[in-house]
Amino acid sequence: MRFAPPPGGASFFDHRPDVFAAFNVLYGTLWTDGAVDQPTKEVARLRNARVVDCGI
Amino acid sequence: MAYATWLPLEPGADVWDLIPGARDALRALYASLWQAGIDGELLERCRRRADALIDGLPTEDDTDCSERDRAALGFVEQYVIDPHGVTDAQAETLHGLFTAEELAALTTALATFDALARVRTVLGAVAGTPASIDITAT
Repeated sequence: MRFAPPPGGASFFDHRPDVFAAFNVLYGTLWTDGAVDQPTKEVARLRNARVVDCGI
Repeated sequence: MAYATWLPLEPGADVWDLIPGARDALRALYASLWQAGIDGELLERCRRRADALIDGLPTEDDTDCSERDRAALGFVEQYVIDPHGVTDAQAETLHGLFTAEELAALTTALATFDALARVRTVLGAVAGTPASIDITAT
């Protein structure tokens, strides 16, 4: 793995949990708030993942 | 972080006013990135590089940059243009010049800069619509 997680971590971003937490606060805000419903956002997320060939 | 946009907004408002809490969350993320131990000037240069690539503008000259800065800027370019194109050799070079903690912060920064540049470009296109956007499922 090019970018391995730290021991006990789940992802490479666990090397900086403070930064990852801040990112997730923004991601969570965009996901849970706003005028667009979550199913629509999920469709957009899936389409984006497919276009860029992301496995997540 | 106010963006020009074609979205219908109240006078004096901007895109970030449409999502409660998003502006504060973005500011907190930026603060964490700039406190993550990576030189702020390099982060700002990475942000400008992502902007230039997405806007189709010329990029800055890197000849005065350190090897570390050039590696980071090369990572930005590969990330923005084709993230699948990151090679084992490029990853090895990055690991040789940055700690894992720095790379985690740098990668989060790139994700943020790339996303914001694309949002700004899409929402700020006030001069008309593109000729076509092919979103055919593959």
